[in-house]
Amino acid sequence: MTKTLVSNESGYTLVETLVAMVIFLTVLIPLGFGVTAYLFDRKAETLREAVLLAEAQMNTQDYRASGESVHDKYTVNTEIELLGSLMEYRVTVTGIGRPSLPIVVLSKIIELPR
Amino acid sequence: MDGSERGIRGFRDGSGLRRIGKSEEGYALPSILMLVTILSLVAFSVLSLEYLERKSAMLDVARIKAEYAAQSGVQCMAAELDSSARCDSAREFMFYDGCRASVRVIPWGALYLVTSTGYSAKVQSIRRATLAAGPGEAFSLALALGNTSHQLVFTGNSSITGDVAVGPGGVSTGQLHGYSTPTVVPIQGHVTNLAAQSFPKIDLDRIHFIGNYYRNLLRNSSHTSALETSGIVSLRAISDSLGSLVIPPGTALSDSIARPDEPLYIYCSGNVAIGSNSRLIGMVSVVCSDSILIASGAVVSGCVFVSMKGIRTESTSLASTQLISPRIVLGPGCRASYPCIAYSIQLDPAQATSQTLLIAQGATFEGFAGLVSPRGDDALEIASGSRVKGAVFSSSRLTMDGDLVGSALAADLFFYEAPTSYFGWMRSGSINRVSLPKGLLIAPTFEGKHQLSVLEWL
Repeated sequence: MTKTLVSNESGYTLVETLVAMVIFLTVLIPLGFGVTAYLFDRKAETLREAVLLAEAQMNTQDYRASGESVHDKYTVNTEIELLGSLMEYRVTVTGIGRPSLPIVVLSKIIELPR
Repeated sequence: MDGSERGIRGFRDGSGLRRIGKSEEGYALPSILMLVTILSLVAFSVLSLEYLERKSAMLDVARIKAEYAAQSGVQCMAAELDSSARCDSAREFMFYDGCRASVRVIPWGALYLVTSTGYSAKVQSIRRATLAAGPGEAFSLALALGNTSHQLVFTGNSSITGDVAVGPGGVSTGQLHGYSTPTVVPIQGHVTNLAAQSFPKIDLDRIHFIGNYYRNLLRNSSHTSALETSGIVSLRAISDSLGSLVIPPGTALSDSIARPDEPLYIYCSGNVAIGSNSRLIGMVSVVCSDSILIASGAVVSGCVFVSMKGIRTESTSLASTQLISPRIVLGPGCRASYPCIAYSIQLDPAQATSQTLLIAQGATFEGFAGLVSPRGDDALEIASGSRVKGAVFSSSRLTMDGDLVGSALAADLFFYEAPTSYFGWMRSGSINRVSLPKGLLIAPTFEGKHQLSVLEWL
């Protein structure tokens, strides 16, 4: 019996299959999870959408007051800080329900309207 | 060993697998490895793509932030400087979001040119702008007549819409041969005593600074590359990397040049002509020791012309252009659109000449027209049939025969009608301060600390 096992390759495919499955499980499944998580995270798309919103707000040139507005799944927060003859206009975009985690913050210093 | 002996042990009937094992012995591991490799490659590609996309999005954000940092740098520098600033300076500004701006300011004609480089992460963005001064309280008037010993006299169809400040002599109408006499004083606005308004004083140190600056540039131009050939020089032949160039006297510049990024200084120790139909766009400065002619059909935008003797324009199109010289003539058909500056000042006190600034019949001018002269007989003339929008200042005489939408401050009003010179009179001009849009900026050459603002983003 031992001789048979050694001399031929009977059962080799089982070992081989087990090894293959182990590799499959240890490599591909985490990889799959990683890729899925990365793709579903859509950070790039979120960032782009947030930047578009922030830029649109910056370009409204409505610098009268601080405020907050909701756009789809984002909250756009505007702040004004007076700096002598200038003011800093700051736009922060966060996800709804996550006000402490800004996706993007844009700010620029402009001259106070005469 | 035949194929029937192989197969997976423990299966009662391994006939099916045996058949596979028979022909595909040991294939499972390589095939799985191959599958793993392929899937890994696919996953790697997807992850790389997503990573690059994320990186690109972050780069876009950095680019936008750098752009805002550059703009903010310009505004910070404008707030930090004031109209009394003299020389080149550089500053660094840090901002709330971690961005920074490195800002440099240099004289640009009668204005300042600011170059601001904004940095965010590893991205940088450059913005340039010209700075000018707010006009101050005096320019809220339609007319301020500096010579308080003269009465303001209206004749013909002259009129003023807006407030007027004059001396104790006040305002009246007068008779002049060949002109109708107004039945009432044609002022729609308040008339106040000039003492209550105070006539603005010119910052002579700044005027001298401008003169010195351009004289020094001309003097030091011998170190820059020179063109040996005179005659007609094609502007197309000037490479983008060239910062300054000396041209021989009598040169005519032809064709077109655009300098949106780096200034180009063209020096000449004689006359220069900007040829017909040539185009000079962007940051081009022409500095010459004699006179400059801008010929008919030329298009000029954003440039500075400085001449120690005189500048004459024919029927040309100017935009955002500065003309600085003791004698300036904007000829018939010349269209100078906002924000232009025509400034008659004495650039070289050692070779003082008589000064004049003429906006001829049929010319239009938008911006700031000024004449600063130590002599009382030099004149800024807005000829009949010309149209000016903006601010007009003369430390000497002003002949106000054209139409002005804006403000005129003059030491004296003057015209000559043979055989008499009339002081304090207006015969055919109109001044309308009410119709001037807000936001006018002027050359920062008046005494006092006037806040600088961005005149134009370049």
